[in-house]
Amino acid sequence: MKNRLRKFSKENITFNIQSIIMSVLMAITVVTIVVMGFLLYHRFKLAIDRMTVANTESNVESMVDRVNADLLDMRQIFNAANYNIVQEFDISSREFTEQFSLLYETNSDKVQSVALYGSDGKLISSEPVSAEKKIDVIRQDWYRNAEDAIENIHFSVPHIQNLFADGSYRFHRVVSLSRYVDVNDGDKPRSGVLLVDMKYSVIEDVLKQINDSSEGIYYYLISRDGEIIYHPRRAEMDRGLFNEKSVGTAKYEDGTYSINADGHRESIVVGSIAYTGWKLVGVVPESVQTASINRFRYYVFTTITILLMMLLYGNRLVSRKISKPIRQLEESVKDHEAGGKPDIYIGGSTEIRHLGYSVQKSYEQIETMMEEIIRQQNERRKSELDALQSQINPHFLYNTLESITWMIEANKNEGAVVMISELAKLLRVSLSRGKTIISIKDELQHSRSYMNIQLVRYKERFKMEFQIDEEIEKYCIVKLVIQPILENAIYYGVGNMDEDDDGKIIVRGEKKGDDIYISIEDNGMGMREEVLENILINNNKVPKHGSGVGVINVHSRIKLMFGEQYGLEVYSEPDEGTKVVIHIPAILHTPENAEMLEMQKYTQGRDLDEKK
Amino acid sequence: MKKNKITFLVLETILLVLALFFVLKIFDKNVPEKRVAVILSESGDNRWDSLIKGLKQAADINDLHMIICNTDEIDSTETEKEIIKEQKNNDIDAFIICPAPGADTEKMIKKQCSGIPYVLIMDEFYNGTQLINGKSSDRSSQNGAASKNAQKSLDAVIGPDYYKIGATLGKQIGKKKKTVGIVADWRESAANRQMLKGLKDVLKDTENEISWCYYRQKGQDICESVAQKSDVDALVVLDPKALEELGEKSEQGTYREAEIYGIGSSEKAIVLLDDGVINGLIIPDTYSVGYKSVEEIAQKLNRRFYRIKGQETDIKILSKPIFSLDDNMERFMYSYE
Repeated sequence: MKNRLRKFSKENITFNIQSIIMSVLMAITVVTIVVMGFLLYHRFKLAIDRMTVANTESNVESMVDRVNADLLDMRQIFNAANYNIVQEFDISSREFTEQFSLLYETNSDKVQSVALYGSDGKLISSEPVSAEKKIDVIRQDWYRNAEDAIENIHFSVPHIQNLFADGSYRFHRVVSLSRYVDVNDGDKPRSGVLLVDMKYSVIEDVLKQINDSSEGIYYYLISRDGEIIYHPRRAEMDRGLFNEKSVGTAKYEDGTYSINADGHRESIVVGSIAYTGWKLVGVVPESVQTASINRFRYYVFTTITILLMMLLYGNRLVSRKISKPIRQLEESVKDHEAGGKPDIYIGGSTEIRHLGYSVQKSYEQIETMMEEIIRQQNERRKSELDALQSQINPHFLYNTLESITWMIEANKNEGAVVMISELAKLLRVSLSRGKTIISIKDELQHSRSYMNIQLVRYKERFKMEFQIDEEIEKYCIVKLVIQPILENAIYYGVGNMDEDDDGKIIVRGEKKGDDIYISIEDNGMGMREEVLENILINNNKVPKHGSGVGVINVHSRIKLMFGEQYGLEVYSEPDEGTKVVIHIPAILHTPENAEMLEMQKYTQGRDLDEKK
Repeated sequence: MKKNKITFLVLETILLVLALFFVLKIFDKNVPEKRVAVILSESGDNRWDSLIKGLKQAADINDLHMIICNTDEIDSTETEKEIIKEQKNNDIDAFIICPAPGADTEKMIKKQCSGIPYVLIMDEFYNGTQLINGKSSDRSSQNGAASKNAQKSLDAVIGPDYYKIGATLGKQIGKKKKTVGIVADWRESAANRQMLKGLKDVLKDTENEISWCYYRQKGQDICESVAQKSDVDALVVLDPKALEELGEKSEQGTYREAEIYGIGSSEKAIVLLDDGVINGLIIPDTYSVGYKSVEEIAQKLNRRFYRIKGQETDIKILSKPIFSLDDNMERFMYSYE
């Protein structure tokens, strides 16, 4: 599987130069833009976060100042009640009551009630005057705190004041300021607890106002123990619909912190309220930061996308410009490879031009070399043919002259004359002015001359017959291909037969389709299967006789001249005879065809049909 | 080359689509907030203060524009229909509706709010069965159309369990033999029916005896009406407004002879309990009703295939003998201030 994949990846995934240039440019562009975009985004996000937190810090600071001012006012009211009224006037005096009432009236926008309790928890005086509820104040936190630390004004957390029934059918939420005070009760020094209930709305209004105007960011106030004094989502918190880690936040000193709240990051700004130990907390939830940055994020994405679009187009233009000369060069090379001979493209940059020149030069050199190789190969074939041809002539001459000599010695002059006459014809064809390609007519003439000589020599112990279609005589043939076969037919076939055996050699010639078949058939002894198998393959395994030039020689010459599909076919049965068929293409014997064959233009018989 | 060109064009198209998407996102914030209309009977009444607080808080968190319809008393289906129609003309995206009394309300709301998400608060659709002046009146047997509505409605309702409220009030009265007078709202609502059922189911198992059951008609002086009834040991007031009126009178000495129990929905009712005028008080957490109803509507508006779920909200059970303004109660009071 791995191999297949590797093979697939190597063989199928190929890219053109434009794609590669474009991919590289795009990769560089994308990486650069994304990195730049990210850095820009990150930088801007930090700036926005800082700005949001800075705004919150500023708001917290101003609100702390405002709450401080309100609480300072309250402390001043409390001190006025203590030092200017409680410690100044006798509680039974009219001035005390008047001043107490005046103080309340003056500050009724902030103060819910002012009350003085004795050390036994009994009410001494209160403003506004209302029916006292049956409440054991000694058990209340504000009272206990005043008794526990007598030097300080104590601020309670907001609670519902339930001391007086004012008939309004409402509960009043207040922050109680209480302190242990000395009370003038006639001559007896007494102590008591002064209570000034600050309206919760004093704090609530300040914080509500800022919370209403700050989108997403919220501010809340907690005691030093983390108890909620004001929270915009107080009702939700009480129902478990929202959670605030106020106890943990109470431990923070003034400053800005980034904390994890229920899996979300949020920035908190803590500011302390003087005297009370309360802490004002501004919270910048992650969602607010995200909301601020979201729009910018889309701006960044839009810019990146448009930049990518433009750069994609630009990169395409650049890659096309760079790759165009290479592609044109490639196309011209492809056309050249396809067989056409267009000029190799030379253009573009210096390097591409140089490459074009080099390719063109290489092609020219290759062409020259190819022509040279073809020329050399032709020459080699010619020389081979010539060599084969030269193997025949001496052999034949030797045999003929030997026969003539024998006849002259036997005073058979007429026969000798015939033989010399036939020899002369034979030599004329053999020489053929040095040509290799002759007409079948000449070749048959040559064969007849040869056979006439041999018949004389063999005292006509066998018969000879030519059955040739006259039509084939006008076609081309390699010269001296029939004679060696006839020679074999005599030597291995009918030569050793008695006259009574009716030895016979028949030469037939006919045209079938585009081919010509010339068969030489004898009724001699035939040949063994082993000899038949090797007769056209291995010259060494075939018994030699006479000139020693076997059918392989003829077979090779025909193949060399006309192509591999042509040559000899040999059929033989022992004691029955042998038939050798010469198979050649039908090529009209014209001077042009003969010349072209000589020049080996007709290679492998490929173009013969066109020329016929 | 053709392949390269196709790839190039495809990439350019994808980038163009992305760019358009991001541009749309940039201007996405300019899409106006979804508008949710809240239809409450007597929307300015103090009994809705806590509920409206919850609505507003949740709307603020969920970026919804809340429109509390300024209404007088919605005592009929027709009145509510007119309000819904009016709001539909104001391109409202969703409704939060306290269903009007009457057996036709369900049909009307379903028709009028077809295609517009809505959630019912405080009460479910009245299904046609109600106790009128102590007698069971099965409207479904009288009205063929209403009989179809007699089945339990599948609409999501966010509100308290009124049966439980009635039953709890019954338990507060105790098991000792007392004569009980019941004051309820005259309107045909499921809430009334269930409260009465819960109360009666509990009282049935005690020695207490229901002397009378009075359904307060619109505009009637409840104190005067009850004064005409026979004296009872315990008065169960299932109408918050009547409870406040009776409590006020009681404080002035009119009904001190009877223990008062009831359902309240305002700070005044708690003050009356704290003052000892009322003996037992049940306060539904209407803040949660408002808050959760908006949350459900917000979910529906954000997710088209979201199915609005009904929820049962808490009730605060207060009883004079053990009542104190402890931290828990103080925190609860924040939503009523």
